[in-house]
Amino acid sequence: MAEAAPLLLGLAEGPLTGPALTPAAIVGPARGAVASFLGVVRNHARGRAVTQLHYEAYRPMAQRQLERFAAEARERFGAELAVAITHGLGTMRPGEVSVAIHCGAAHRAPALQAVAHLIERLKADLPVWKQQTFADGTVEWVAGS
Amino acid sequence: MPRVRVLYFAHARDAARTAAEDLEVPAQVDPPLLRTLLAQAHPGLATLLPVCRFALAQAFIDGPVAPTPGEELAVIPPVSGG
Repeated sequence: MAEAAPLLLGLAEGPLTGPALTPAAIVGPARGAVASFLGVVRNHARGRAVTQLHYEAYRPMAQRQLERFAAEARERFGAELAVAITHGLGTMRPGEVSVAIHCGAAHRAPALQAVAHLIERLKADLPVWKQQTFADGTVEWVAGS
Repeated sequence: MPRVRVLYFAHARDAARTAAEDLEVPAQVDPPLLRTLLAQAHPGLATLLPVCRFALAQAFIDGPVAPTPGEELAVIPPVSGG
């Protein structure tokens, strides 16, 4: 019997590096399409220069929400959808990667649509918050994305 | 009245000046009641609470819920992950 499609969901310390950045873990012979999104720390917000970000999370709920989002994505885009989501926490600098979402499906439409759907779900309902440090030294929690 | 573990995150923690505390709540609560109770406990939270959501046992509260003693009740200010 074929293996179940992978679900790789979690939080990481610091910006994402190495394996989390690539979809290699969800590439497989049943999945002809693999799509990805990377969230990268921007060096500006509303015209102000940003020097660093700090992410915090309600960790147990964030893990459960990632599981809920993946289950919903499978209901919508196919039970064989492979999903890998990693969100980094802690201090990050502009140009570093804060979040990665990779989806694999037999065909390209569900893979691409699932990635787009999941980043919107994550931005709306993942209990993660970022605090921005600006070039003038001010530190502010982002009001909401 | 059950005693729940209230967790404050991000700007809610800054405004409440605590990350966590135990709080006695009625047997059934909903978001409007929680906003009232928490504003009474922490007046500094009053302006933020209208835009906060709440989670009980790591699930968002959409309507009335009956907390179990010791459950986590999280104050969730507007999120900004991703």
